[in-house]
Amino acid sequence: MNSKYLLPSGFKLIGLILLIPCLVLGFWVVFYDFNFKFLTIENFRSIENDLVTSENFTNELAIIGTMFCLFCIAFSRQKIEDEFIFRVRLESLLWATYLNIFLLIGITLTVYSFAFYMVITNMMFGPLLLFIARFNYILYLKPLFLAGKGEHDEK
Amino acid sequence: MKNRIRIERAIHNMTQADLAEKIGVSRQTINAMEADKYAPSVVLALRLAALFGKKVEEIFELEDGN
Repeated sequence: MNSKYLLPSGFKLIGLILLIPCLVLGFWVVFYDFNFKFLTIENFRSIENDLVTSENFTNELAIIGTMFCLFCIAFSRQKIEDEFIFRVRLESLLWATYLNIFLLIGITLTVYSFAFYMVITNMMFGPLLLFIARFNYILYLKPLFLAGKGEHDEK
Repeated sequence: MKNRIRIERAIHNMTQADLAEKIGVSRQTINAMEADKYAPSVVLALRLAALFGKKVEEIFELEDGN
């Protein structure tokens, strides 16, 4: 099937393994103000009134790392990437995009001020997470439920 | 569209995994076709028919509303 835009299937495992340290790093940055000293760049930003500030890139590392891992998990090829799986992939992308928009509308109406900022920041990962959840549910969990009901002679 | 994949599979004494491997698709694809959740491409339908030694029309047939 036409899947030339996907990563090789091994990237899924790389993504899964790297995701754990990235999430731990992100957690420590957010809740304990953790910083790697060597990621501080002095005089990175200069603001209009000659005030010069340095910038630490630990949080950037956590965000980009998490993004990269989720990307690898979502868009690596299945071991057998056939026409049905490719269709499930495209449907799941559409589904995740729709649900993300509805969630954003819901959040906009119900969450305010600093909490809104925090939630929207985390919603950066929304489309990827929703896609991964829906895609894997259809391919792996749903057949198990159907088999449990006795509708399929799963072997 | 109805299909007789499950019946043909039983006649040939194959599991979903066996059939999937023989025609080079995933097991989920066989499962979805048997559950009438997925209509295969013409290429896949022809490959299934060839494997079972039958015509495509003997395995797949239209239903009312198709």
